[in-house]
Amino acid sequence: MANTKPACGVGSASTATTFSDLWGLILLLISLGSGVVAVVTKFAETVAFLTQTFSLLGITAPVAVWLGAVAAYVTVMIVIIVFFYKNCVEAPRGLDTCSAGVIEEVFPSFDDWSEWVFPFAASHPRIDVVVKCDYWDLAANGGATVVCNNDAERSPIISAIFHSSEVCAAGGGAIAGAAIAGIGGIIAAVAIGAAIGCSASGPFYLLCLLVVLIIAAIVVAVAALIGALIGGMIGKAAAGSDDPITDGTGLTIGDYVTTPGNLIIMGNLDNARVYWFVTEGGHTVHGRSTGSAPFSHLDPDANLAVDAC
Amino acid sequence: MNALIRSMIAITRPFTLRLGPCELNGMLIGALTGFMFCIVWLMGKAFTPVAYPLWLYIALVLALFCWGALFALLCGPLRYSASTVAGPLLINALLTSTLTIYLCNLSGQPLLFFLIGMLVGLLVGRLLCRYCRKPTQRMKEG
Repeated sequence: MANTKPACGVGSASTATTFSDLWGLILLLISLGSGVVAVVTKFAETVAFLTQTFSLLGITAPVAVWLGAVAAYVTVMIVIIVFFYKNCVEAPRGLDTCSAGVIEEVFPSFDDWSEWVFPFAASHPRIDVVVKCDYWDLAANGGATVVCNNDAERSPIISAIFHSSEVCAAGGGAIAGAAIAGIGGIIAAVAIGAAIGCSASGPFYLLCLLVVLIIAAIVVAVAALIGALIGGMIGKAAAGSDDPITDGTGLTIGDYVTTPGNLIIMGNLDNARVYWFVTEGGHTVHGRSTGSAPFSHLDPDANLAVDAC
Repeated sequence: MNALIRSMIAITRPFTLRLGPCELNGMLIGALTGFMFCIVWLMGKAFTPVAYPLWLYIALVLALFCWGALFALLCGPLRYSASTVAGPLLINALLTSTLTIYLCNLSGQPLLFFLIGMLVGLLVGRLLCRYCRKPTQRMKEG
């Protein structure tokens, strides 16, 4: 028996996104940094401490420049680790369920320039499925946003994300690469900062100090990101592809598919219901539609009478 | 490390979930501006308010730096569309940094700079979100 079609659009659910979690963590880091400065000021002579010179590997620069470079290093590392955590470690609990329909769109991993430049931020492979009307209640469950297709029926879509060890290996490699290259970046940044040298008597002394700190931060960030790129690519190559979209015959637009798995409300996809992840090796392909995108739910309703749920 | 990240997220999530993107951007710009101005203030032994136009130059440099850092993060790894992010973020950065530096300079309390920045960023972000918010597109989600 057919369900009532849920209304397309934003629901009442609100969940965290990578953006909100990342911004929150960076704010927390700055708060901690400010707290440390406040404590040091309370119990010691911060000003003297910050302007004191510190030498390492023959490079002499004010402590503040060293600290600025280290702070940039920590921030970049946190950014990379948070992406890895969100992609590969965090396991949000959802509904253990199953749905079926026709594939409207496929998004393989590493199909975007930014996923190659920032391999730690690569997305797991994803398919958007126009589901049979039997599964409409899942799309709206828990006040989730109901994403609808642009067919005449405005058919509900449930996305399904497949865990990719290639994506996680790229993330792990990026962490290692950034950690190593970032240390080199700290040394380079401080050397550049020391070479600039700000005259304490000049009218723009404060501006000069600020520019030195900013240059140090940029040098460290660039070095760490280059390391992340190299490490990420090594990790990706070592893991090999397990993308169900690009491997072998692969999942393509128009395939009838059953996807069992953990159905969560995902902030990164506008709080829509999404499989994170589809049970490994659990999806089933039931042949192909003779129609073309945009698909209507009427297609799988008529042609996929028996699915694998 | 994962346990540390998990616990840090558990601390921040109750706050970040209540805030919109402009407010979060504003708070981050304000906090970064205030913190860096505090370090420079302490390093430069600027025990008296910084004179005009130097404080304005500092504010503009910091606004540009914050805009660049956030823009790179948003349009790189987070995959927001550059055309929808660049303008609003620049306005947010210019307003927040300038107001933060002006108020910090006025207060003369470097240890409060970070808090002043967060507060200014929150208010500027809230105003921008209320009056100027358009849907922000992402190139790809997942």
